[in-house]
Amino acid sequence: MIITRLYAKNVLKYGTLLLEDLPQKGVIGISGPNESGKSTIGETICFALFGRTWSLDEKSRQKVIRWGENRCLVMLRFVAADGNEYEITRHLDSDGNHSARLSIVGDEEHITKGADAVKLLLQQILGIKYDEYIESFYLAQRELTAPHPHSDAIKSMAGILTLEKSRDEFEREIAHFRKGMVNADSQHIHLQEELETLGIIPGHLDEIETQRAAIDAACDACEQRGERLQEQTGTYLATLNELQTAKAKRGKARFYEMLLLFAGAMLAGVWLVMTLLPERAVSVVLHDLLAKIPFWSDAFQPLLVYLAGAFGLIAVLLWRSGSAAASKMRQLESSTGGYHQLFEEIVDKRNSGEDLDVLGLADDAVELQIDAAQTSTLSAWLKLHQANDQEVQAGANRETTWLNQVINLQEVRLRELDEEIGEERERVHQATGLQHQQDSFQHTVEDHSQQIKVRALAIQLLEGAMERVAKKFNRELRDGAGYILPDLTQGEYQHIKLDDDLDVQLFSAGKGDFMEFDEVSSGTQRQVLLAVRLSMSQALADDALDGNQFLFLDEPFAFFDHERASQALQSLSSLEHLPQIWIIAQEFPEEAEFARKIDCRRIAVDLSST
Amino acid sequence: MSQQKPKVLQEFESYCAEEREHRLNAGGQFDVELYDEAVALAVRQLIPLLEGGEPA
Repeated sequence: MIITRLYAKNVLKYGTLLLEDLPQKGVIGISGPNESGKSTIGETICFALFGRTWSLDEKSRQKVIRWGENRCLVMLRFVAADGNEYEITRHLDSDGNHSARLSIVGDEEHITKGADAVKLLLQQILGIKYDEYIESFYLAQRELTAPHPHSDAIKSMAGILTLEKSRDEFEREIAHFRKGMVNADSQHIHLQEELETLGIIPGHLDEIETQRAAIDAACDACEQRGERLQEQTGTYLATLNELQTAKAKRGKARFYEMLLLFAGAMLAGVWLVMTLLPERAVSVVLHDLLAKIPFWSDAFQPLLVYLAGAFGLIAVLLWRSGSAAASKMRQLESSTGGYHQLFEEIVDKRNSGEDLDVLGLADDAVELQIDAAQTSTLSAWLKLHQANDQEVQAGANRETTWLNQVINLQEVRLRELDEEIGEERERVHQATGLQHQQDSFQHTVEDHSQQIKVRALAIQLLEGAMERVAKKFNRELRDGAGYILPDLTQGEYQHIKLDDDLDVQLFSAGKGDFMEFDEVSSGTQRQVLLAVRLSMSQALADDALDGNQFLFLDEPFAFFDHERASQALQSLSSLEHLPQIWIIAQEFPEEAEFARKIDCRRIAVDLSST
Repeated sequence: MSQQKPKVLQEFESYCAEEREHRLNAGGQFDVELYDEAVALAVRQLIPLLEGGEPA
């Protein structure tokens, strides 16, 4: 930014201030005695640009209005880096009403108006804010000190502040994520305590469900065995009656068969002896015996053989009947053999203890204790089909009663397990919910940890870039100061060293060594500081503004002797990136040359320079 | 500072690119994915700051 015109009315000392057709290149010298209004020109420029001055901030800016007046006006024209010439107009009254307008010179319409809008647009056009201007391109009277490398304005101009802000934001985010992690971790621990309180034993639910299924199956098996026993006992008893009937029938048939066979054989023998051997004594005896039978006649003798035949025939029929009964007996015995097997199976199961093992109980847990010998005897009788109805029924009842008692025990245990399983399922459900929450918190911890890693690395990179930018800026500063310093010190000090904190060391040509800043005279110190300040302004104009910039120095040569002030003025006219330099002094060396010279007088109210 | 903003970003990206190359060549463990994510995140945050706004 290069100033081309300044007009002010009722600002500080001046009733009217007009500086026109200002040279865009070269030194503008402002001289005059104390309180002649030299510094007022710098403060008026500052007020025009930022609505405040170096000594009057926004709260007290009404003091800018000239004593005894109610309002003031300032108009400043400048050429910006974009090549346009702008004009800013600012009004202020004693009631605090403050207005501003920005326009391009030659255009009737303004670009923007209003103090805040102008402030924002000016920041964009100028590339600097008030703080940055004050710390870089405006050197107030007696304010020649070393630049502060840690000031926000310098950092901002050097480009470090943005990186630093980004780093600070990441640090805040890391703190936020850490807090989140601590919270998630705390929640995780709390949930773990709740889980431990629940005391879920892994696999316990499966175990009791398996146990329940086994008992349920055993219960079903016992019920089926009992039902089969009862059912088959009835069938068996019915069959047993048939078997006994068949046995009786076969016995009778065998008896009568043998009786008739014997009788038939006897009759056949009598007939045979009496027919073939009639003279024998035995025939006579038989004849006499037959004669004693009432109504017997010898004519009936042939009937004996028929009778024997009839008896034989009946015996055959009886044999057939007996055989049929025997066949039926075998059939019934075969069918009832299954009952014996069932009985044996039930007894074997009972003796094996399987039905009670599944409950974890011993045999004596069942109230009914069955006599093993009694059961063994019954089994033997069943095998031989010799057990009677009562014995069979009693044996079946004993086994059924035992089974029912076992079933009762199993059902009690099933009910207990159902209750236990219900409670365990609820607890497992709760535990699963807690574990899901835990997983969520764990995920949060892992995610935050990753976010922290990324941000920590980003901070590392930002700090690396900041260090590089700072070193580059310091190098430019050092090089620039080293170039200017010999001119300001008449060649006495040739080189300058600046560390990262901008602490200064000087190379003295006379002593041939570097000297600490405190070792040189106060006059030389100010010359060195001016060199550093000028160098910084150059570096910032190059780095930050990317264009030419005016520089305002209020009495920079206050402690310079005549010769050094003269040489310094000469060297200032050739500073790169700073073509327009405003310099204030009470008086300048006579030989000094200026692009514009402005003389201020203590008693003058108006000042005009065209 | 509109004209300065790209310079800072360019400076940062240039530094990150050089640092990435250096770390790759240095061998050892280098999490490229994490590195690229950190650079992208920093750039995303720098842009609104450079534009005068608040970080994203």
